[in-house]
Amino acid sequence: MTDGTRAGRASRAALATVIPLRAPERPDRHEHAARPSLRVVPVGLRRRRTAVATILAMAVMFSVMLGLAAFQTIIAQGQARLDRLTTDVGTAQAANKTLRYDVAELEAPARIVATARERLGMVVPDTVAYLAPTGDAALETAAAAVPAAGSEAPASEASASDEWTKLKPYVVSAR
Amino acid sequence: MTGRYVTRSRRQWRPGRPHRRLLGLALVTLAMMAAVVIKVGVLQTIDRPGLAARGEQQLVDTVKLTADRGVVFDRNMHELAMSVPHTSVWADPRLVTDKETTASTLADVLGVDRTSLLSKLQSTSEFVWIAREVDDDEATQIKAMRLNGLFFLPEPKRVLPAADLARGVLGQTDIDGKGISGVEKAYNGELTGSTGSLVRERDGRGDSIPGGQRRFEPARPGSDVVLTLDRNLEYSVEQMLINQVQATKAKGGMVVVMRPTTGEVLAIANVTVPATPDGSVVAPAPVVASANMALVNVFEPGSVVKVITAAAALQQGVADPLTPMWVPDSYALAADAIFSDAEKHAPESWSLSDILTKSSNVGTIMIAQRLKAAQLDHYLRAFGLGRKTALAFPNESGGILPSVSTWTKSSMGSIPIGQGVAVTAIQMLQAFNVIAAGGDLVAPTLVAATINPDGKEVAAAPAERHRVVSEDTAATVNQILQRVVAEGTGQNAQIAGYTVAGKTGTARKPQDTGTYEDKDGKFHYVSTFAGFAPAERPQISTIVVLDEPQGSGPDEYFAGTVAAPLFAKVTTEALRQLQIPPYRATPSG
Repeated sequence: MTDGTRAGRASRAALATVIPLRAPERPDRHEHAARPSLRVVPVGLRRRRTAVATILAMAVMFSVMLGLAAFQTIIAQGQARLDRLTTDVGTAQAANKTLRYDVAELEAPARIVATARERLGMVVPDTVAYLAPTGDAALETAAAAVPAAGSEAPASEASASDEWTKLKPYVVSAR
Repeated sequence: MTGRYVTRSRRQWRPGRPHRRLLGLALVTLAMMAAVVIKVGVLQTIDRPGLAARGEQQLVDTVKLTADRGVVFDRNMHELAMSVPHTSVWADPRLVTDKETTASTLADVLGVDRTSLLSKLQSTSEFVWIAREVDDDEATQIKAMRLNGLFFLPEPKRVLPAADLARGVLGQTDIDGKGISGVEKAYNGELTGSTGSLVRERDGRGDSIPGGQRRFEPARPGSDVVLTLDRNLEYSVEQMLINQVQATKAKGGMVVVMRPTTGEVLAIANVTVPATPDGSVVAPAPVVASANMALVNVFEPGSVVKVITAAAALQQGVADPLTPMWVPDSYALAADAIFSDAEKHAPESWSLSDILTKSSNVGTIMIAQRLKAAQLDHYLRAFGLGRKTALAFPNESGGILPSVSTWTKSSMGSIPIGQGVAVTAIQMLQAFNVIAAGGDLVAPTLVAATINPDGKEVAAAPAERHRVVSEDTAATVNQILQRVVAEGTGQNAQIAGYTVAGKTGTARKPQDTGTYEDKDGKFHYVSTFAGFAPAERPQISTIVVLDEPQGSGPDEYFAGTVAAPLFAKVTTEALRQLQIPPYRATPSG
C-alpha cells in the first residue's frame, strides 16, 4: 500500500508538469451580441397543467391538514367531554348512594317510632284486640283454613298471609 | 470535484486534494454516529427500566377503582348495612410548607391530637394518612383551605342505616372494608367485589390525551346478601328486651325468634348492660350488644332441657304421658348427689305431663333413670346440643355437652334437668323447633338469598332437616308443653286468642368459685323461656334468656315471672307483624 501510494503521487505530479492547466472557457462578447433578442414564449399547455396540478395538490394537502387539525380538535373535545361525563357519572353514583343511605336512615324503625311519639303523639297499644268471625263466616273460614295438628305446616310466610287475606274481610265486617 | 484557482501570473484552476478531509469528515461522522448508537444502546438497555418507569409515571395515570361492597338486606329488602362514599385525607409531608400551621388547622377541623398530626407531617415519608373516611362537611372545609401537600381520596365507608339494629348479627368491617365479625365476616367472600382500574395517558394538566392509550377494567361489585331477619320485628324485639332487662335489673339478655318449620331466623336481639363507670352508683342503661351473644355465649339452660329428656323417654317407650308415678321432693343418686325440687312437697302421684307442667327436677330425674346414659346422650346430641348449628357463624359456640364416657353418677341427675351442660340460645330454640316441626330437626338459616352484581337472585339452599323423634312423640310433647303454659309454670306466656306451648328454665349460674355459689354464698340465675305458637300448627318459635334478673321480690328471678311475660310480648308482636291468625279447628276436628 505504501509503495502504491507513492507511485500514484509521483505519476500525478508528473502529469501536472506535463499538461498545462487550462482556464475555463468564457463566453465571447461578440458572439453574445449576434444572438436574436429574447422573446416571450407562450406558456404551454403542459406547464399550465403542471401548475394546476401543483395548486390542486397544495389545496388538497392544505385541506387534509386542516381536516386533520379539525379532527384532532374534535377528538380533543370528545375526550374532554368523556372525562367530564365520567366524572359526572361518578359524582352521580356517589350522590345516589348517599341518597339511598339517607332514605334507609329515614325509614329506620327507631326514627319512625321517635317521630311518631314526639311529633305526632302516637303510642304503642298495650294490647291488640282480635275479632273472631262468627256464624257462617266462622264456618267458611274454618273450612278453608287449617289441617290438624301434627300434619305438615306451611313452608312459607306467603301461605299464612294468604290465609289472613281470606280471614280479613270477615274480621273487618264484624267490626 | 473540488479544486482551486491558482493566481500568479495567470489565473489557473487546480483540482484540490480532499482525501484527508473526506477521511477526517468520515471519521468524525462515524464517531458521532457511534456515540449516538452507543447512547441509544445504553438508553434501550441499561437505562430502559428506570426511564420507562419515569416516563410511564409522568404520562400514564392509573386510577384504582374500588369495588362496592354488597348491601346486606333484611327479608323485605330494607338496607341493614351498606357502603357510602366518604373522603379520606392524606399528605405528602415533603410538599407541606408550613407543618406547624397545617397541623394546628387540621387538628381543629378534625378534632384530633395536634401533636400526632405534626409528627406525621414531619416524617420523611411520601405518604401519610391524615384522616380516613371523614364527614363530608369536614372534607369540604379542609378542601376549601387549599393547604399545600394535602390530597383527598374517595373511599367507601360501611354504615348501618338503622344504627344499632341487629348490630351483633351484622358485625363489622375494618377500615379497609374487610368483614371482621358477624355476617360481614361470614359472608365476606360474597360481599367483597373485585377491584378495577382505569389506565390512561395524561397531559401536563392531568387531562386525558386525546387518542392516547386507555385501558378500562371496571370494578365488579360484591353480591348483596338478603337475610331472613325482619327489620321491624328485630327493632321491636330489641326494644322489648331492653325494657325487660332494665325492669328486671338483669345483666343482659337474648331473644331469638324463628319460623320453626323452615328454620328461618326472624330476629336475634342481644342486649347487655355496660359496666358501671368508676365513681358512679347508677348502672348504665341496657344497650344493644355488639356481639351476637345468642350464638356466641353459652349458659346452663336448666329446666328447658327437660323437654328433651321427656321426648327421649317417650320415644324410647320408657314413659307414658299420663301414667302416674310417686314423686318425692328430693332424690339421691349418690351420697353427694342429692337433687330436690324448687319447692318442698309431699310425695305426689304425678304423670310425665304433670312433672313437666310443674317442672319437677326429681320427677324428671326419675324418668331419666329409665334411660341409659348413652340413650340420653344420643337424644341430647340429636336435638342439636353439643355442636354448632348449621349457621357457621363467626365465633359461634357449640356449647358444652360432656362425652358420655366422662359422666359421673351425678350426671344422670344434673344433665336431664339442664345443669352440667351449656348451650347457646339458638341451640336451645333449635331443640324446641324439633317438637314444633313434628319431630324433625330443621337447621336454622340466616341468609335467604344472595343477589349477584348482574341482579340475579340466587336463593339459599333450603334448611337441612332430619328426623329426631316420631311425629307422635313430638305431638305428645307439644300437648304437654301447651299444658305447661295453660296451667303450669309458664302461665305468664299465654297469648290472648292463641294456644302457646313452652317451657320455663331457671338455672343456677356457675361462679368463679367453681360452684354455683359466689364468695358470699349467693346463687345467681339464668332465666329462660322457650316455646312456640300457635301450638296446634306452630309458625313462630321464641326463646328468651335473661342473665341474672333480680327483681324486688323473692321470685323475681324465676323464668315464669321474668322470661315468660317477655316471651308473650315478643311472640304476640311477631304474630301480629307477620299476620299469623289464631288457629281455628275445622268442624270435623
